[in-house]
Amino acid sequence: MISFEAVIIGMQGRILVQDVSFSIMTGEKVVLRGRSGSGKTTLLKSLVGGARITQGVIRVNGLAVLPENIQRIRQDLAYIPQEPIVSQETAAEDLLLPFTFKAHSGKEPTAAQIEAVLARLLLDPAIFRQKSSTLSGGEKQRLVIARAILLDKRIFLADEITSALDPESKDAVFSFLLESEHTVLSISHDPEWIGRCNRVFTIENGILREEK
Amino acid sequence: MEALDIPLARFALLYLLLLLPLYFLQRLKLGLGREVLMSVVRMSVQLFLVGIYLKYIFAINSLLVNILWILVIMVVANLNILKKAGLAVRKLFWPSLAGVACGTLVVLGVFLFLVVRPTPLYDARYMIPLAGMLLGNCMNGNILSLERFYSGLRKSESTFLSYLLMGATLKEAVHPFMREAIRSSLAPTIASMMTIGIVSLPGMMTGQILGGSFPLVAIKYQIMIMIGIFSSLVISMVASLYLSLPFAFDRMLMLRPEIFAGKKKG
Repeated sequence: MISFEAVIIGMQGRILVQDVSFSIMTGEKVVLRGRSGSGKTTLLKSLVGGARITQGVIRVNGLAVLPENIQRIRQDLAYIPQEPIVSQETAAEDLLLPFTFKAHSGKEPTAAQIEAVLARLLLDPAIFRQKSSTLSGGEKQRLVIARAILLDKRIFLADEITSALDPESKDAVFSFLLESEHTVLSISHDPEWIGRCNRVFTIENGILREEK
Repeated sequence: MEALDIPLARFALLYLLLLLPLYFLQRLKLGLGREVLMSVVRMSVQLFLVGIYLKYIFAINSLLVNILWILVIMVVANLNILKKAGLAVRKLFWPSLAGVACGTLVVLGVFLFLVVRPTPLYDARYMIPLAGMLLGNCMNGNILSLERFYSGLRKSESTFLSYLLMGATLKEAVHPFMREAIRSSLAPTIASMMTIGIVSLPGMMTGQILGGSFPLVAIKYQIMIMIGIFSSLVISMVASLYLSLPFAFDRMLMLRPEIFAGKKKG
């Protein structure tokens, strides 16, 4: 569960998010929409400590987003930006990057687990040997989601992820994110995505309201 | 054998030589004339002042004075590094200074105590120019590496955040940015080592030959200084980057916008 309790976020003397209070239950699919610069991404990043909160409390699974809890909170969250981050030489290296970090060392997924995840996202296993730079936007997006699944992430923060997706990728991403038990907090202007989310919020001039 | 001194009247001719490049710059309408004149004036005044200081420092030849001199030039170099890298002096002064000191002093120690062994070991004729040469190169390298590292992190905040969300520690998350910053900052030094002696005779060696040294002695010093520059550069870059981390990131492990000079967005 995620909750924002009277949260105010300011940056450079300007208030981006004013007195926001709402909560998201486990498994809910939520979308935020609003004009560019309205504070949507800031709100999303505040959940993972990527934006400083001026006032109020944000909780993820009961833990306040504070320095002492941030590592535990980050374990549950996956952030999927508009431009998927694939920085390694090959798709395999990108998929397995987290397992090179101390936190996950020795916990590498088996070949069968990897295959299952790739199949769930309609990714050809041959992609594994491909150079990351040759992947399409949709493939990169799905690779990033596959990485989050392998890390057993429970909450997905998705920032405009459908804008660069081809129809095949869109189907795979939609069916995974919307039909699984994962909690999804997204930013989108895509009517199809908005139409399939449980709850829709609009942010305007820093004020958040839920559309009924 | 000593180098021939240049009489003042003939020395002044050198400045007349500048008329030629200034004419070309003017014809090309590059608008660099004022800047070139300023830099020539500054270079001349600075070097004359250094010449005067060094004359006294060499004459005094005291360990304390030498150390003080090196400390002063280290502080000046450090201020220049942070200013040129666009970083806030009050936030990163100490870690950056410590990095520069590590790179310079370790290599200077090897030069003086193990390789050259002048008598006395702190002989100003060796200690001061060698420290200056190492420091000058560390300064240029650190400007590049700090600027590239922190501007890279600022530009790719989402990438950095995604590493943290994948379970990376701060050191693991900054590692790709550090690798890139060091690689690109070392490229000019590596390239210069590749071609040195083929195209040009380096300044130190030329100076020694003109000063009366045998070419083979000058070459030994030049090799020593090239290896020293490279080593001090790597040590100071790595030390400055690592030592600056605790000052540059907050407890959420996010980059502090305050480390950037001016009011740039964080």
